[in-house]
Amino acid sequence: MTMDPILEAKEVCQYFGGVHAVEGLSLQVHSGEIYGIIGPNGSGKSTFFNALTGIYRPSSGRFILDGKDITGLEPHVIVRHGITRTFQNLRTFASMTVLENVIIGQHVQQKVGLVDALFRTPRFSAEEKACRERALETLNLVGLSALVDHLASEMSYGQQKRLEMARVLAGGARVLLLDEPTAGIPFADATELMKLIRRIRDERGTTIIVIEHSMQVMTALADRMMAMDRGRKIAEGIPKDVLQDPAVIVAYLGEE
Amino acid sequence: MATRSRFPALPRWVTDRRFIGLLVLAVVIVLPAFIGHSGILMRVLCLIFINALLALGLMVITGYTGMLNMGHAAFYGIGAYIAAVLALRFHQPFLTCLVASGAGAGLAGLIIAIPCLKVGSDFLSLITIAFAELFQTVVLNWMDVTRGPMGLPGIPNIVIANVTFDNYYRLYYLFLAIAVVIYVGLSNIVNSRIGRSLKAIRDDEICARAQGIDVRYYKVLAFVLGTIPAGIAGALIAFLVQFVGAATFNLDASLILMNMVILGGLGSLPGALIGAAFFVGFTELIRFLNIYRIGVGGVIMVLLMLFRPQGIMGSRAFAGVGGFENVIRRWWQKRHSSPRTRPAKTAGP
Amino acid sequence: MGQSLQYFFQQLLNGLSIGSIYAMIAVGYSMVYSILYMINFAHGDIYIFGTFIAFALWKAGLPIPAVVVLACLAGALVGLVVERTVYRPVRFANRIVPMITALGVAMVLRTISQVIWGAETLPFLQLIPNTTISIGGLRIFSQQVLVVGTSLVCMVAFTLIIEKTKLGKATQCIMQDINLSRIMGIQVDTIIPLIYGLGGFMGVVGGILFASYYNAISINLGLLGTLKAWAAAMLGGVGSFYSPFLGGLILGVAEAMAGAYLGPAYKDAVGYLVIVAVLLFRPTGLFGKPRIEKV
Repeated sequence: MTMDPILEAKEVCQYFGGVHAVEGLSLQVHSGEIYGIIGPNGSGKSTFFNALTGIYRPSSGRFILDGKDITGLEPHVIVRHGITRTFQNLRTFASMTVLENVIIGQHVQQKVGLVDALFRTPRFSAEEKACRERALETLNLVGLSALVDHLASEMSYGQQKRLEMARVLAGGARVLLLDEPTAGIPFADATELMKLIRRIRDERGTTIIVIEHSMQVMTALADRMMAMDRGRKIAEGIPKDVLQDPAVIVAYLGEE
Repeated sequence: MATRSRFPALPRWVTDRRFIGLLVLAVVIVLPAFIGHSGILMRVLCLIFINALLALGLMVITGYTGMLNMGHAAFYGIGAYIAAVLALRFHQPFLTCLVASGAGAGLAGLIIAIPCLKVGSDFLSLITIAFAELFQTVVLNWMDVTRGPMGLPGIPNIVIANVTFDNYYRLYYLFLAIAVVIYVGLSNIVNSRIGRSLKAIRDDEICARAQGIDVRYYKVLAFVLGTIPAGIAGALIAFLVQFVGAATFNLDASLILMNMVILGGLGSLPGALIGAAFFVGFTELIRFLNIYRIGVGGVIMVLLMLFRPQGIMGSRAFAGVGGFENVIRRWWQKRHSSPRTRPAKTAGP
Repeated sequence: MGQSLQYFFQQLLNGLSIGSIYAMIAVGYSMVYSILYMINFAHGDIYIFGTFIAFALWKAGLPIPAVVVLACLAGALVGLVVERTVYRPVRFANRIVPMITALGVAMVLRTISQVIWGAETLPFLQLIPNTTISIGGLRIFSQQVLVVGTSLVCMVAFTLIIEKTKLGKATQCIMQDINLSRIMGIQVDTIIPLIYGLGGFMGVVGGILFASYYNAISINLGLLGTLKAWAAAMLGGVGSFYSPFLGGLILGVAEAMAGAYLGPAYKDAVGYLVIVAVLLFRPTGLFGKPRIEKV
């Protein structure tokens, strides 16, 4: 873990008409750290992710990834710069198998084009094989090896969440954005998942930004974190400090 | 890609897709030995090959990418008219017409894809219909080139390398060869990153973008890949029937093509072949009911959507949790299981 | 008034007349679309079926008011039945499935009409006798007055229903958030067929006016009607009840102008071109509100 900020947000604002979903948000995430974001519903956490990944164009402010300004770029271009994400309301490709879902996660790593596919060149076959193997490895990592040929739509909620994780891991991006990865899954699975996230960071040096609701998970997982309320950052630091911050307590539990 | 076998009793290779495909191909190759005497049957098969090209193209656009192209027959018509005009006015040989038709239709596909990029999938179908109507208007009114409603008769026989294709045997094998080449080409393309990207766009465009897929590029690509075969089919029909008229390429024709793709199953190239064969064969069989073929097609569509939305070869995921088949299956499971072994709820829509 | 200006206003009037018919069928169509985001391909064929029933009732000798009322009810009934039997089971399948079902229904209805009444164009009844009023050189046909008047009355009635009645308010809730409405106790599954029925009812009014205006009815009007409703709704945009209405008027005027200044063959084509052009610059239609998808 180094001290260079791999990702910076500078005074990012996201407005929808009169709604200030994100207001003047600035942060720095260091390479290889696990950075948490916590906040009550509607505080703008997912909106922040959406602005970062290009789904929305920020109303003002900048995002800098590894020195490059990625503000307002198209989502697929931002992925190419090295950020991938999972979704809060779980998005998988329903009509495709588990394996295909994870192979798609490697889309930007594939180089072959139309001509190679058309004529089935050796380059093409080699790449397909490599993708497939990497997908199988990743599925093994998340424990879905037995379900490789199942349709994504026919899996349980917990399994689909693991599928999304596998998809994002197979992509091999430097920065992973995880939007509530432990929401809705039983405690035992959540613990497994947290172990996996730490392991990925330790083995690959991936920078991971996690939105979470559960303070337990956050404490166990994050190196540093920030709390949001109504679009603003209200606290930042190590989990122990942030979670004892009076402003954070007020935001979650209300005034005394 | 290995999948679970649906028929575990049979040896694996029998149900392998490629084996079945080769078997079908072998049958089709030797078929003229048995039915060659019947001009009608040979002609029907040639029509099947032509419609297969149309269905394959539409399958890429609608089945794989999820863009509802309701005006596919217009691209068919563009190809046909390009071939006719080149052959009649400019005395171009068949192969030139073939290439020009494919290219022309592909170019049209490129042009139509551009407005479709900016709008949602619903508006897109409107744009394709608008385009089809525009095509009809242009063809019916551009008397100098298309002779309007009178059409262009008298297209000569196909001649390639001094061989005249004036009998059904030769046409059959020529059309078959073209169909096979295009099928293999499209199949290679969709069984790759490209096909996966198209399906991803169909399933969830936002998530597709989040994987780094350039949705706009792939949508345009899908249109071009889909309209080129349609143009080629147009050239083939022009030389087969030796006449082109606007009525062949109207909205009804587009609807029947859509029927083929849906019956075959969205997202399946072999499905497109099945759909084409079924509808062409069926239309011929019920000639006397021909004026009602639209209605019959409609009934088939409704029944399919109710009972098996994924068609014959499509992915089960299309049924969602609705559809009678699923409703019946769940009811059956509930009735035949004790409370303890009742299956857990599957993932919702 | 100068000759060409007079001609222009004449065409404008023609355009507004036909446009108000488009407006009505567009509103009926877009109600369904706004709620379920499903393109009801069968809309036109449903109300043309109703219009054919009007034709049959007229031929049977019933008085005109009865013909209109019964036919409209028939149209409403067909819309309701179609929703309940064929659309409801597929409501939650992949998006494309209900649209294809609707397409199938359209084709089936068209063929049923074809079996009963044939594929020819038949002369339709005249709702009121044909007279002409001349104002300052403009010729106003009684049919046009009827058409514009009726559609305005219908729109007012429709607005009253939507804003004053319980059904209307429930519909507004459903339009905003279908799941929330269900949770709040609104009988979504009863109301949705009623909305289809209402759409069918208004559609038949539009269909009868159309057939009476042009003095012709044929099965081809079904698909044409769907396209016009769709086009007008897309042009105006989704999101309120007025946008499809305005879209219909604009479409009618555009067509009339095209027909007058470019030639009758280009009427439909230009109509579509206008829509495509509008969609390029304003993808949600002229007056539409974009649909926010939660990510």
